[in-house]
Amino acid sequence: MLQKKICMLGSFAVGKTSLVRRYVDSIFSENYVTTIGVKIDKKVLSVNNTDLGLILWDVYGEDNHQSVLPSYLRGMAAYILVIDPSRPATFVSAKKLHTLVLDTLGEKPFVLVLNKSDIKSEWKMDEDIFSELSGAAIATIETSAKTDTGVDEVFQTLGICFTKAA
Amino acid sequence: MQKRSAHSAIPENASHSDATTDAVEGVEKLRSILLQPEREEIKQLQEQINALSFRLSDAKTRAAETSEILVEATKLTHKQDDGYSPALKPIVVEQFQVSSRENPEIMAEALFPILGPAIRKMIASMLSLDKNKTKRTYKFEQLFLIEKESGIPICHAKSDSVQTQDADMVSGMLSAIQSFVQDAFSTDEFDGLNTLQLGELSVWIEWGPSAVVAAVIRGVAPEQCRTALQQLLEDIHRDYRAQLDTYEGDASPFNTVETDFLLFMENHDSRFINRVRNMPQKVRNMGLAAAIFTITLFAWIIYNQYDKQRWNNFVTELDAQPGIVVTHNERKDGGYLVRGLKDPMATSPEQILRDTNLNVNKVVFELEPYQALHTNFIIKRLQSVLIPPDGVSLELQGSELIITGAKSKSWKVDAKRLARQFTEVSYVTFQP
Repeated sequence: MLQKKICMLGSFAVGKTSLVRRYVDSIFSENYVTTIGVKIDKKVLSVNNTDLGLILWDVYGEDNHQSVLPSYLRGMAAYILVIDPSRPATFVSAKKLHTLVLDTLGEKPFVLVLNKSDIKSEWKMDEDIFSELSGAAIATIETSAKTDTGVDEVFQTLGICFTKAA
Repeated sequence: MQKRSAHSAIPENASHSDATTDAVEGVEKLRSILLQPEREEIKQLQEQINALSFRLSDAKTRAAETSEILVEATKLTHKQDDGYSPALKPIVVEQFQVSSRENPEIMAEALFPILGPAIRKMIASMLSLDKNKTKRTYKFEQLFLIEKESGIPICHAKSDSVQTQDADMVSGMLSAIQSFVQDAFSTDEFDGLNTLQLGELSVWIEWGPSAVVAAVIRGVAPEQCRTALQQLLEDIHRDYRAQLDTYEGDASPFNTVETDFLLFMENHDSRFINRVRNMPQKVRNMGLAAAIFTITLFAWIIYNQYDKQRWNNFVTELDAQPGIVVTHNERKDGGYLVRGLKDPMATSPEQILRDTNLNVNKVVFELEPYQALHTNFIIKRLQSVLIPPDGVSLELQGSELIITGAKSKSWKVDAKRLARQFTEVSYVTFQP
């Protein structure tokens, strides 16, 4: 089975952990994210009759108090960049994380996720950053962990990206 | 008159000039016809010179041409000139130093498979690794081969009795912990995490250039096991160099590593080692006796086969000797018996036997005398009867005995008479 390392990146409390919680196999407590800054989960997909293992690194949210350790990004094949559009500051964090990836590893495929689509009326889009990130991403997907919307599509998009590359 | 003369002089000069021009043109034409091939040749030479000049002035062309003969030229120079290697030595040494300084990682990767064993050998010779502490209980429960960059497990092996969590997530977490420690304490990569300890469970981590081996051990394993684990990782780097370099998440080229891992765990299971150690003395002695008996039996069978082969070789060689016929041979009472026929003038069988490694005293020969019909033996028998004087030679051609160089009349008469008593001789001829 082909296996790929995927990092979940995004500001603190954008819903990264909630997004994957019921879609992945997990053996570690979520406390790890706040203790050592990362938790490892796994998602097995079947894309075009090919099994694909995504090892998901749920990396601690970037905020003013703690920054992402660049060494957690090493060896990743792609990443999921999560934004909570109801908090415009998360656009800025997402851009910072995207720049960190470019500086650390160079260009890597990523899916831009606009989470919390269930409260879309509260979204305040930063159009400049959104269009820049959206233009660089392989796909932009609106999700809601609460209403179970779009999450599978995120993993399927990555899966198709890897099977095409293979 | 003068005027007319002048008038008439003009056409005269003109005709002279025309004639000169015609002559010049003629010479020119002749020269052109005569020198045409040379001009062509000069033109070609000029073109060749231009091309040559371009080749010499254009660095790329010169480099390409030199590269074609460089290998052969180097070999030839090395063969012809003793000063070639010493001249190159400082350049090579200097470049080696520069390369080591500028790209230490490349050098480290290249040297990794050979450096480890050399260092360990040196340390082992300096220190006696705790040989006396091996009587401890420990068990390698799991082994992970983890790709260094992504933390994805390339191979995972576990002992049958162990319940494990998902290997992919465990190895990812190990890798994350390593990154955390490395970043938190700003340590160098190769000074990274080597041991995690939790009660009686410990995790040993050995680092290679492309992959990491992590071993989950229950109990306290001796330090020799860590050396063996390092050796295992070095072997993997040596055997799977290309696959590690091109790894992109597909672990199928590493299928055989699991067998190596399981073998390692089996060979480093203290329960088995201690089981042997803890056996009652009587059982251990019986085991030892059985082992000695088996080894002795095998040694005897092998020696017996070897001895039989040597004997057969000897009998074949003996039978091939002129004047000896082997009719029967057998092993008897721990020795050998050979029966057959022997011409008194044949080589002694004991002499042939001495040339082999067989024991002369263990062989009994029962050889009946007979007269061999080999020409050499007949000549020898004739010589013993005729006693030819010095300068006289005997030769047998069919049944004709040719005696050369005989002068004494009386000896000739005796010789002819005595020779005819031999059944192999029908005629006697004397030659000067």
